[in-house]
Amino acid sequence: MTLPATLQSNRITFDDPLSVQEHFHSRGWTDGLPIVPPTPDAVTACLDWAGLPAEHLVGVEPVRGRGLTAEKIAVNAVMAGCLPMHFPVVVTAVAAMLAEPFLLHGSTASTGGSAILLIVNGPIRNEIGMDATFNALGPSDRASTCIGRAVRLVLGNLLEVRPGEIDRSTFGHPGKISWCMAEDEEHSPWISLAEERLGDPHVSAVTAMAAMAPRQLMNEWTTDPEEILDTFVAEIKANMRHYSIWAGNYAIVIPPQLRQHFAAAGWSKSDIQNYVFEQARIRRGEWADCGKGAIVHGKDDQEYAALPDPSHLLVIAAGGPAGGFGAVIPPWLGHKSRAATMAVGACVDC
Amino acid sequence: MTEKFVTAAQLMGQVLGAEGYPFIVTEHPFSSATTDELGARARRVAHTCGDHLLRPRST
Repeated sequence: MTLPATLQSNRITFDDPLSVQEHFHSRGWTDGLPIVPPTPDAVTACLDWAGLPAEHLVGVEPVRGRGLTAEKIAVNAVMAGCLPMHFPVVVTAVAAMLAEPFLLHGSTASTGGSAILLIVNGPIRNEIGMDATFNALGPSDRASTCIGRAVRLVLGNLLEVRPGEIDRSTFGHPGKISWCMAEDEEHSPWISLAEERLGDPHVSAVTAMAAMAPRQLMNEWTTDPEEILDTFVAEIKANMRHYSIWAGNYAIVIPPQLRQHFAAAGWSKSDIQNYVFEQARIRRGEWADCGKGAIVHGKDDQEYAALPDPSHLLVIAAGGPAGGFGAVIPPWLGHKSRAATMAVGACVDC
Repeated sequence: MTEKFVTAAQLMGQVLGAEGYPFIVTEHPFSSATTDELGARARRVAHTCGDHLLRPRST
């Protein structure tokens, strides 16, 4: 095999598959799981599928000014198990994370330990076999798992976001292994997250959010949208009391069993956002109820909203067909990092 | 920089092209320290600020 002239990465030859794994592990290039060897053919196949030259600059990490090329991202995508058809989503996810408002360095270096949550919308979900139903927030399908892992390997191998290096997370959470999901647009009464944020009903897009671990809730004993949302709001308020009071992007995930009640009542995503915006508020004095009295500073009655405005609530339709559950996904640290949505195939520098 | 972030500061200096960039280290954590404790820590390191600021730049 001849190394394609356009690829710049170092080439290493191994005698057997196990030695490949051990070499990559020993260099700290993996997350501890086995990797797919990023052969020149496999890397080139990813680049060809996305129509990107190897040297294409996908984006620049704003703090360090470090450019990430398509080739280096493709190497990590192959390592994560991605097929070429997954690669455009990986590239888009990386570009979204590099958007300045996302504050990639802060959110990945912080002791807070957020993960990158990726939400995929549009036709590409079905083209690459993403499943937004069963186990929606976990390893639901090959594409989701591999794309999420690819982004994590990119962070580690291209930006030193490894535990104890740039990544100073006290705990982290399991979403840092891989966290990618699709929205269930086919079984949703609402516009998609991408249409809401980009204004195009046909676009394939990726939304990246610096996200804390999901908090699961349950309320299958009412059909009233307000009562259902009161449970979500209670979970958001618990996060504000126990973790961080600062307003930012929250995501809520609503499964089919609860979505049908919103649909029957004629509630749109906008209605949900407005209700949560009005209801998800706590007083600073509530901190004293949970051991944080030291930082109330006499401002007991000062009110804090979870959302800077209703649009900061990401309402996501996903989940298996049965179960009156829901999930609240809090932001890393208020609005310091803002969710970024980018269309698949959009060129950011041409 | 607090003592728990020394390696992070060293790494950031390295990746930003300023390997060996000097910084002052104080105790961790400071979020639960009293005002008096913070004052004491500041006094302990204050004398080194001048040294850092006036140190000749290394090439």
